Amino acid sequence: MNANDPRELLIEVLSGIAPETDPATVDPTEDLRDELDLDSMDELNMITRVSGRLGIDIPEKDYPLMRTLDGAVDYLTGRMAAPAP
Amino acid sequence: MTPAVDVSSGTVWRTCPIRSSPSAGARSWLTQRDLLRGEGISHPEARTRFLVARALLRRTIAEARPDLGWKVLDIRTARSGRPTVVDIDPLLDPFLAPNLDPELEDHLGLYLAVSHTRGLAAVAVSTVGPVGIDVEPLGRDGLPPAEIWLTPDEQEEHASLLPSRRRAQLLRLWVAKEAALKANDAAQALPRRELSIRRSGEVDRVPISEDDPEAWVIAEVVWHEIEARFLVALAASVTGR
Repeated sequence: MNANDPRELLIEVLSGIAPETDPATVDPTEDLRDELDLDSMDELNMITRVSGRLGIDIPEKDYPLMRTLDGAVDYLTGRMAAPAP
Repeated sequence: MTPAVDVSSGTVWRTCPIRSSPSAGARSWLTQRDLLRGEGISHPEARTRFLVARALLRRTIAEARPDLGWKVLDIRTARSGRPTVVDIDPLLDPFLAPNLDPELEDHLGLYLAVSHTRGLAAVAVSTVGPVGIDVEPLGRDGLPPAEIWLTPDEQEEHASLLPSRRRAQLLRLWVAKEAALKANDAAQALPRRELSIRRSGEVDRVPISEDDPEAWVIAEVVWHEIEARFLVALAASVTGR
């Protein structure tokens, strides 16, 4: 896995949170909660693990930006390129 | 289905077991729009949970406001994330129907909250003010790290508990915070670690610095165990009324 690729990281993390699913096959524009049957606890676990792996702080106000796979990739890509002060 | 319980005047909440598919009784409460939305949910268990919760919500709305025709109400998600009821019958409201506004928070004076988990759906309907509800299995594992979502005081108390009591206490705090977040716009803007849950059920906003010393009660929470398998928290907004 490319540790700097947010999509690969998200899929790996989601595979651990929802092991009965295949996150690589979800519609990347649809809500992950519906696609993978995640709830708010799963969502926070996903964000906590991704945040820890990438070493970036993700404020709770930004969580809604990570509700889809594409949205999460875009958000993380932006944060990795220009970390918050 | 559990009997309706009034936690305060004007608020009704119910729970319903979720099995492999919605029962015929549940389906009788669903509209064509509900079924179409369900078809858009790809995960089969998530779809079933949505449909059972939606049927329970419609039934509870009908109970809370029998004067409204539940079949002509659409339920949408407002920007806040709250479910919101919208009148879609042009015969009843010809001016509203062409301009449906999903941002309306309290259309028809109804405040709704929904939660579902594997095995149980829970809904709350209030005619008084914003409400929130959350349900989790009592045996649920995998709670996020405490430092992410507990206040410093809660973390200290958590660390002082016997290990055998920690999971139950964490789950109690989790459902309370989730319900409070759903019940209150002010809470929705706050990180979970700035919401303090008192033993009494009051939910405080924690001051984050000396420059910001104010704390205030934003919601009240009550907890219920369902069939010794699930923990439900029901929150009523204090500031939103």
